Amino acid sequence: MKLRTYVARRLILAIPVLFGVSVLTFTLSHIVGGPIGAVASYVRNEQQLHNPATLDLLIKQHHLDRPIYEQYYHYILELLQGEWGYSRTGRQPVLDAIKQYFPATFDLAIFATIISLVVGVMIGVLSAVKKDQLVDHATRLVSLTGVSMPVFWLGLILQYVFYYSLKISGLPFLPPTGRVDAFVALDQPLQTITGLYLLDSLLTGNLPFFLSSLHHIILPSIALSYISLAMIARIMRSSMLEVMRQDYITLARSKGLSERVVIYRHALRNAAIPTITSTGLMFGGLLAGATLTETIFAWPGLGKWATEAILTTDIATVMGFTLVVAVIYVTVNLIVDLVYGFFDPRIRYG
Amino acid sequence: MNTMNNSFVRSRYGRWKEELEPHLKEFRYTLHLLKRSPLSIAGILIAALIVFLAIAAPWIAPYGPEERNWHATKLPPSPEHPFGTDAMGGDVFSRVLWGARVDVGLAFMVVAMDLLAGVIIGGISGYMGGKWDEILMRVTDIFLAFPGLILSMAVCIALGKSLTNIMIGLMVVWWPSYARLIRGQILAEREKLYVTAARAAGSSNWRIIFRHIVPNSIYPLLVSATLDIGNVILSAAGLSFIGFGAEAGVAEWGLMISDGRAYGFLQGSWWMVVFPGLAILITALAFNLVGDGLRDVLDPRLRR
Repeated sequence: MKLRTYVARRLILAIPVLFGVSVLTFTLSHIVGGPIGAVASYVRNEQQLHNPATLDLLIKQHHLDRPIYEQYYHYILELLQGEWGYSRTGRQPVLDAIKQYFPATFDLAIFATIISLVVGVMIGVLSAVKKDQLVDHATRLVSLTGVSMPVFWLGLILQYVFYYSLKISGLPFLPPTGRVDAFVALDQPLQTITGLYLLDSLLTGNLPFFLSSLHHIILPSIALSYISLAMIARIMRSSMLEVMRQDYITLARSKGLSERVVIYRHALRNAAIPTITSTGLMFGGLLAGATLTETIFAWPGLGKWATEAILTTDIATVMGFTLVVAVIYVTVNLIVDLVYGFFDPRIRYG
Repeated sequence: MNTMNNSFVRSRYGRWKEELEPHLKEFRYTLHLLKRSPLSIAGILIAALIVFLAIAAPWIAPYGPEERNWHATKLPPSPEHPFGTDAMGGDVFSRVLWGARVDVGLAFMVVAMDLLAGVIIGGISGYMGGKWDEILMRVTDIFLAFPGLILSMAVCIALGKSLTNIMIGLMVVWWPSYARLIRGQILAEREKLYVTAARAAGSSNWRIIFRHIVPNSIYPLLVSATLDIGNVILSAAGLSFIGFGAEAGVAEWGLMISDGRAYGFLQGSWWMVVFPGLAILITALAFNLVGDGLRDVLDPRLRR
């Protein structure tokens, strides 16, 4: 099957999933909308909420007085037209809020993924090469600790150590919350290009802003990367072990190649494939908003936004967030599958 | 007559013994492999200890789960209160012990219910195939595309704050992975030669499923369930940490951390946060060690 056909087919297969998610969010808005029901998604403020005339107008405007299937039809139509409702948590229309919060999440996800990929692969390979030795047991314990770590607790401990205890001992400390120092942001405002602070400040040569955001991203990205690091290490270890038993590794060894070449040239490249897949999926997961980490570090991303929204039953936000996440998942899955074929030419799309 | 009967009994016993022998051998070999992995042994021991503490909390804990002493608030660890006291004068050590009851119990409940749901849905999907399979798998797709924690939160909010609703919220999120796993197992096993042989020998569908396929699929399920106990504890604690689930005052680990954070954690009162968090970490770690050990031992590809 040609690549183009494959992509087309996958995109068509994604439609039922997205359709299902939209049904789920639509249903949710009717259940959780509270006493005024689904119109809650479009209410902008208290005045509108307590004014029956405006409520009626909104109901008319969004066809909420029609039978349920017609409501759904108009819901989808409005989604496609970019009317996603009003986010009370973000104090702006949902789509604008997503545009505002997504770059922060993206920044954090990229940073955390790089850390976990580099460290995770190193640990995993080391563990596999020295199987059943002390190093292996130690790294397995480290990676298992990562999988068992309550991320919000790790975040708090990091804040305690690198902010509180360094500060009271008069040492330079890392900021516990936020994305950039407020004073720096006032002094040297950033020209927004992509919304990614680190990239934008580098592009515009705004060094103080860059350093401040670098300082702020360290703790949350360490907290966030620990879990995925542990997962990557585990996957890397098991696929390395699998590959090391293959005949071509024995062949490479019997050719007289050094252990170094065997491991890094022959084994690592083949063992990397499952790791690539899972790293891609993890990145997709991180893009969907690291709810707990963002909450702890007051990181203004999608996850924190959605959590606040749920706590205040801001249904429009929850619906919008869910749809974005579903789209991200579907896209990331497709990209991962395509990349997979690129790294392993034996795989044919079909 | 008598001798005939005797020989019948003996042959029957002999056959039974013959049938059982390879299973016993396999089991002994499993134990042998397990013994070689010190981490798994440690995991089993710790997990057993935690379950014991959870059951025995009423007799071990020096104070009740919601017992307060307003004259002893925010005390650092001391011989009187080994883990210190919290902002309302509760003994953190006792509350961590009582918390084991809540969190571990909840995790077992969620995993058991999801196993059941997974077996039913995955079983129908894998064995019936065709239209049913297509519909059920698309439904699991939808659930898997939904952000897990957010879905749990939505359920908790829709049903109201309580531990039971946290449980329901987590069940709703977790069943699709079991359904997938079981369906995959059934599909893989269904095509194997021994199933074809059993079918050729005239076994009924039910017999094939329950005598042949299920026993052969039980190990991956066991591994996945063990690993998930840790994951469910982490998620439940996370949910009640951000304010879903457990009602204020309940001795639940996530809520204890959240309270500790609210009352002076970054001003130096570390014990209210550190000890419940360690309890979560150690519990999840223990179950992960057991699951990991089981996987290594039971994976036929790594076995010999």
